[in-house]
Amino acid sequence: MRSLYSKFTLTTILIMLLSGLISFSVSNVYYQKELKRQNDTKLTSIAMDMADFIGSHNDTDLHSYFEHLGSIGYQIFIVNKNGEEIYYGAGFREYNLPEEAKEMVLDGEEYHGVGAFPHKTFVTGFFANELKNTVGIPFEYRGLNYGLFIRPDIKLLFGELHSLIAWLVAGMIVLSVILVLISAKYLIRPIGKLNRATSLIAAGDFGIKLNIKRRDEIGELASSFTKMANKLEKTNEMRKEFISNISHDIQSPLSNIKGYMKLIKAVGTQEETRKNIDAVDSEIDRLSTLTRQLLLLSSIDSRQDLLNAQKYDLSEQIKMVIRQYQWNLSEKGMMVSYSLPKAYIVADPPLLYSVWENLLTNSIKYSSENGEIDIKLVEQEEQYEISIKDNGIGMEQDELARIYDRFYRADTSRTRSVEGSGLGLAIVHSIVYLHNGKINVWSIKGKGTTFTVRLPKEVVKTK
Amino acid sequence: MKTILITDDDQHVRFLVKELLNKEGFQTVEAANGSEAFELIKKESIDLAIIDIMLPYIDGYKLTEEIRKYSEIPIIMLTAKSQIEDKEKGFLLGTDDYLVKPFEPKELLFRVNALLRRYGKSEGENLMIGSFHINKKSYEVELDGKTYMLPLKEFELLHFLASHPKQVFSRSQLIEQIWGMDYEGDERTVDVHIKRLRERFSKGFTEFSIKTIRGIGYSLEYRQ
Repeated sequence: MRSLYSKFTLTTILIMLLSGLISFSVSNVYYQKELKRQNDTKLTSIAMDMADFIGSHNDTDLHSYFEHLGSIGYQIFIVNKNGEEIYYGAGFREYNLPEEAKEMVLDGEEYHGVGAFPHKTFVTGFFANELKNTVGIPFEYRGLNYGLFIRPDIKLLFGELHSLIAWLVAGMIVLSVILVLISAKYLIRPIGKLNRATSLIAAGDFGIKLNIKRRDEIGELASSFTKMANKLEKTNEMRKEFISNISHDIQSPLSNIKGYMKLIKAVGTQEETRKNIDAVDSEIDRLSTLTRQLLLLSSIDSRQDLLNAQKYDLSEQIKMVIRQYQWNLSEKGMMVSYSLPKAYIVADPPLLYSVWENLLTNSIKYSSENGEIDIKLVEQEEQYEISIKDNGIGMEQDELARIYDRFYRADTSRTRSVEGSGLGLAIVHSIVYLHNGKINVWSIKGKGTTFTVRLPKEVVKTK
Repeated sequence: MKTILITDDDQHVRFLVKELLNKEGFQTVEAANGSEAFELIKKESIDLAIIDIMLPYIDGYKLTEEIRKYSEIPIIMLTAKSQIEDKEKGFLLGTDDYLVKPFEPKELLFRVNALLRRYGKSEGENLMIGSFHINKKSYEVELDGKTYMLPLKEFELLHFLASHPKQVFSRSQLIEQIWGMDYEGDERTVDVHIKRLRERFSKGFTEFSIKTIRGIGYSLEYRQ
C-alpha cells in the first residue's frame, strides 16, 4: 500500500462503504422515528376499510373476500372468538403474534404491531416479514367477533423494485470502483511526471518539458514547476558566468604577478625592479579589493532586513566620505563642491557609507584630471534626493542598462585602462534597494555622469 | 616640531612610517603595543597618534577609546581590516581618520598634514566676505551656501590672493609663496591654476574676480 494510486483507490472504496453504512443508519433512524408511525397509521386505515366493508356486507363470503385481498398484495391473518385461525396471501417468516394481542383485538381494541415493532441496528422494521409486525383491527361478521391482522406483501408489491434497487446499487458500486481506478490513474499520472522531472533537475538537466495541460491545482503546480526550472536554469547560467568571471578576475592578476616575479628574478636595473615590484603591489591591491567587495556583496545578499538601522545625519556621513577621499581628489587635481544641509535618516550607516564611497570613487575614477564633482542633497517630503554629478568620460546609452550587473564594466575589452572589479555599482544597487530607495543614472558620453539616489527618510521595515 | 606616535606591532611598518615622517620633518615615538602607547601618551607631549587596529593585549579600538578619555589629539587608524563595519566602529570610538593597508606613503603624509592643520592653530587667517568664506583649517571654500573642496595648490593660491585683495602679484612672487623657493616648474603653472580657479568659479561668480594685470601678474578683487 505504498503507492499513492492504491492508497487513493482504497480510500475511495472505504469512503463509499462508510458513507453507505452511515446513510443506512440515518435512514433507519428516520424510519424508526418518523416513517414507522406513518406506515402504521396508513396500514390501520387500510385495515379499517377492509373490516368496514366485510362488517357491513355480511352477504359476502369471508373466505373469498380475504383470499382476494391476499392475492392483490396483503398478508392477512384472521382469528375469531371460536379460536379459528386462518392465513391468506403469502406466509410470514415468523408466526410470533403474542396471545394477548389476539385477545386484545377480539375484545374490540386495535393492535399496532408495526408502530411498536422494536428497532434493531441493522434491520429496518419495514422489511421484517413477521406476524408480530402487523396491524390488528376488530370486526364483526355474521354476529361473530373477528380479529383482522394485515401487513403489505412487500415481496409482491416491491419485488421488481427490490431487484431494480439491488442492480442500481450494485452497478453504482462496481462502476464507481472501476471509474475511481481510472480517474486515480489520470489524477496521479502528472505527479509521476513531476517526480521524474525533479530527478532530472537534480541531475542537472534543466531543459525539462512537462506535457501537463490542466487547469486545476496540479496544472498550476506543473506550470510553476516549469517556471521554477527555467529560473533555476537562468540562475545556473548566471552562476557559471559569475564563476568564469571571478576566476578570470582572480586568474589575470595572479598571472600578472607571476610574470612580474619572473622579471624581478631575472635581475634588471634597480629602477626596473622597483617598477616591477610596484606592479606586483597594484595587482595585489586589485585582488584584495575584489575579495573584499565579494564579501560585502554576499553579506548584503543574505540580509533581508535592515538589522542595524539607526537615526543619523546623512550629510555628515557624506562629508566624512569626501574628506576620506580628499587625498585622491587632490592627487587628480579635482574639485568637489557640495551642498549638504542636515538630513536625519533612519538607515544602516555602514551600508550607506559604502554607497557614497563607491559612487564617489567611481566619479573620481572616470573623471579626467582637474575634473569636478558636485554633490547635492535635497530634502523632499518623505525622502532625500542625493545626486553625485561629475564631468568625466560618461557612458553610451546602451551601456547604462547594464551597469548594475555584477562584473559588468563599460570597458568591455577588460583592458584595465581603469582599475575596478565591476562590483561597485552592483553593491550600490543592492544597498539602495535594501533601503527601499531608488537609483537613477543620467549620462552623456564625453560630458559626464550623474547618479541620483532617493532614500526614504525612514525605511519601512519589510518582513 | 610636531611629535607623532606610531603604534604597530610590526617593526617593519613602524620603521617605514618613521622614515617617512622623519623625512618630512616630524619627530616620532614608537610603541609596539597598546599599553606602551598609552604610557607614552601620558608622559610625552604628542600631537598626533597613528594606531594599528590589530595590536596584542589591547587592540586599537580599545586604545582609541582609552586615549579619548584623556586627550583630544588627532588619531589615524591604520589597518588591514577593511570591512565596512570596522570603519564605522573606528569612527564611533573617536578616531579622526582611517587608512587601509597597504597604503600609499604620500597619502599617509597628506592625511597627517590635514589632521594637524584641522587641529592646530592655522598659520593663515580664515576669511569671510559676504557669502564668501575661506576656511584655512579644513581647506574649504564656501560660496553662496555651497562648499568647495579645492586641490591643495589651488586652495592656497586662492587663499593667498583673497588675503591680499587688490594687491598685484607677479607670477614668480606667487610661485615663491605657494610652491616654495625650491620649486622647479615654470611660471606657466601659475597661469594654469588661475585659469582653473576662474573656470571652477565661473558659475554663480558673484563675490570676487581674479584680474590679469597685463605684463605684471594677478590680483583678486571683491565685487561690491
